[in-house]
Amino acid sequence: MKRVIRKISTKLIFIISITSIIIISVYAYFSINFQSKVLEEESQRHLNQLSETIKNSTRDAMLENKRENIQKIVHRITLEPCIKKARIINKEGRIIYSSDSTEIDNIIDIKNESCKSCHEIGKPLERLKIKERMKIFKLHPDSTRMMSVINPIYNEKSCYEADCHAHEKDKVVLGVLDMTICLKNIDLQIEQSRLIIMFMTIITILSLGLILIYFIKRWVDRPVKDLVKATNKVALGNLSFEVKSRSNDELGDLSSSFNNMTKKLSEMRLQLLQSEKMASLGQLAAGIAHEINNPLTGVLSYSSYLLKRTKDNPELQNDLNVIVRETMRSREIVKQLLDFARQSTPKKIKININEIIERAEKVVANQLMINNINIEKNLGGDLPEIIIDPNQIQQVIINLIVNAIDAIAKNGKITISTSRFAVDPYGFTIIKDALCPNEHSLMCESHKIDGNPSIKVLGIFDNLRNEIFLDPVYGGQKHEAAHEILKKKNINIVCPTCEVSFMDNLSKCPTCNENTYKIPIQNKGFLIGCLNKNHSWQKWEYIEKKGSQEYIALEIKDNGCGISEAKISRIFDPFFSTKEQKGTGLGLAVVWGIIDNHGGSISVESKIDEGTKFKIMLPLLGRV
Amino acid sequence: MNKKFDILIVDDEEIVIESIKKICLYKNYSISTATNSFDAIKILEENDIKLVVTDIMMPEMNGFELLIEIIKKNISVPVILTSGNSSLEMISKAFMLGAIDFLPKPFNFDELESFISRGMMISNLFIRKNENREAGSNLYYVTCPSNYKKFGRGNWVKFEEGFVKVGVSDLLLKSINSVNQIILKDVNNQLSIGESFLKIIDSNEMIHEIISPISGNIIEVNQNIVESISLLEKDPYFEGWLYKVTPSDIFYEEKYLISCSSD
Repeated sequence: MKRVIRKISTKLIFIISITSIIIISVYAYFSINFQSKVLEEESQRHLNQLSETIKNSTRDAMLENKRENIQKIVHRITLEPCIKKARIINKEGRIIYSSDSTEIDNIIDIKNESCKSCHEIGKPLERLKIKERMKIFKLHPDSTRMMSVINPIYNEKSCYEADCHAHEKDKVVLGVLDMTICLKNIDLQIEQSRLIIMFMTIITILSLGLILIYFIKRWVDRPVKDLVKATNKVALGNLSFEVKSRSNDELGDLSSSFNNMTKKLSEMRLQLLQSEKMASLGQLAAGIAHEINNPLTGVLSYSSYLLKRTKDNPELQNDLNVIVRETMRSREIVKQLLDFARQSTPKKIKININEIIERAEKVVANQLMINNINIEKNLGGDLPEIIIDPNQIQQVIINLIVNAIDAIAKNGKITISTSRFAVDPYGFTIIKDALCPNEHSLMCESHKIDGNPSIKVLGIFDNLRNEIFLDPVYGGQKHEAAHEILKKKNINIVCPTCEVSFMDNLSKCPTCNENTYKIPIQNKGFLIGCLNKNHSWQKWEYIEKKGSQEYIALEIKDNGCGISEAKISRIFDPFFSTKEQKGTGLGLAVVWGIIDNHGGSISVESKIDEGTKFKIMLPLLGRV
Repeated sequence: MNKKFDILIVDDEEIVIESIKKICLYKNYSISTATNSFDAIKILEENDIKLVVTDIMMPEMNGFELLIEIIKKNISVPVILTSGNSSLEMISKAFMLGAIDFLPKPFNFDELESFISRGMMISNLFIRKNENREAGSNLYYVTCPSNYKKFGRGNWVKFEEGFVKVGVSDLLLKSINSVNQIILKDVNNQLSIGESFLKIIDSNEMIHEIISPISGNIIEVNQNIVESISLLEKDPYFEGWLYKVTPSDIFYEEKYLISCSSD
């Protein structure tokens, strides 16, 4: 019960009902009052007319002093059911005619209620307004209402000149005609309309309530219930749960931004998980280094000690040499693991990449043979030397070849080709150091677009404030934003840290003539661009001036099983593996990191059952 | 109680102690051992020790703390720190605290032998220096010029316009029993801080790997010392430089270097 009372819909229905009850009651009150007033006035007029008629019809009988006739008339009138009483009182207060014959000759005291209106000041008044001669009363509390009117009979020439000489000339009022009628019909009418109004009120409130219940349930209750359900699911850890947005109102907006929030949350959780994994990997490596290096110390020093002591035993020497060599190899592996965990900087030298490919091929030769896989090489003949870390690049090539072997499984072909070519910066160069004028870095490591950290800015449009992640590829169009803010025109773009605006009022987009943004790139000029979703125009003069850049391209292609479209966007993420239990999920993340450290880029194309192609671009002149 | 030992080996793992002990005994050094720092301090206080070889990662009191304690107690003994975690941070911390050398684990016979041999030579050098204070240290070895920097006691680096010059210290050369042959790297090879940049073979055919004070690309090798090794010993800090190097990450590595002015 308490729950029902606490519900928004109940409260809303309650408050709306109370308001409508008050409004309708006030209306009904005034309406009934007005109606009864009109009806009373109508009866007053009617009663007055009636009493005037009686006065006139008894006139002749009075002049002729035919008292019996008068009495008859008075009596007959009251046969009418609603005329309760009619009586004529003379100036002394004596009732001379009455429909109720028992009270004839009774004297009404001047202080009597019915005389008050005229005789209050002491002497009889001659002219009174009809309203003041009128009185509504009840004989006793349960009876119907009565209305009485006193109609004075004025002295006329014919009265004091009549033969009976009953009246003197100087009297103004000779007596009064007192008539009483009941208001039963009127009361009935008023009662009826009161009932109708009350009935209407109830009907209105009921239907209003029902309509409210229906629409509040539909527009508020259900979406809110869905949202509550969704938040509970999310709280329990189901971050993939989505609220079905039913409407395009504020609650619909709330649902879609809720969905957006859960999406971001799940991405962040993944990243957190990954960084935790990375951190624990570092700890693990340090732990392993300590734990493994101690026993390795024993093996290595003992075996090398034995090697010294058995110089005269060549057979033993050979065996011991194997132990020493292999232990030294283990030492190198542990060292590499530590280097990886620390993400060491590359040790670059000038070398021809074809040489590294040959080296890498030797390492995997055995594996290729076992799986009956051929390597076809189309290596560029006159490639210049480039400055790279040969060990790291070899690791990259081995990694990609091993992946290709896994994708082929048995019997297939891997094609490795290298070439030299030039590329225009537009749509290719990756922006790595976007800064705001106050030197806040805009690069967002946690929101990557195609594997590269995006440029994070804040978009402001009216009351909307949303993060916008710009594609870090110069000329790229894959901007992302939490809200549909990108669709708006004339949004203001500011630095998320200090909110300095990037909008540049001086230049306009050459395509759509809209305002443009101007983002500084550290030591490399400015990136000017337009946010129009349809063309995303950008201009980076610094890099354009340098002209096309020369690269060494390395392609490794297999005819294996391929990677599905859903998975391909994530293959460079750490700990994402298509090999399930077989892989660590680190291979391609490490590959990506190495290529990035060399200022290069890596891309992938794949078709299910046709094969996968990795393309690595390494700049000819070191970092761009 | 006051006994004389050549080497005190401190490690919480018995097998490591045994490994070092075996090789040292083979080379006819007298050995004392401790499995924790407290015992080590007790031994050092009660006996005459020439050289300490201690592990870093030990429970309760680690090798760094042991080294600090030895210096605080004014026990004059050179210390070689050894660890399975030979990260740049560990090595540089060892040098900054005053260790004469850092021996990464695991090591083989030849590596340990060369470290011990150099350590014992330095120890003897220090003992003689202490016995004859008035003569000044330069009688025994020449310290490196104060505007140089170093990573440990064996090398030096001098910053010049656009490149750096690197070389080996006189103390290192004095700790080697007459240099017979040196093996240098070639131009365009990479040097890495903390990794070997020079091999010295002494008259006993013992190989000494000397670590580089900086990372970078070799742009020139001093041909004069290739032609005449004696130049290296005559003038190790000026004419006896080894390589001109373009450093790869000087800002990152500078914090690991020690100024020679502290000598």
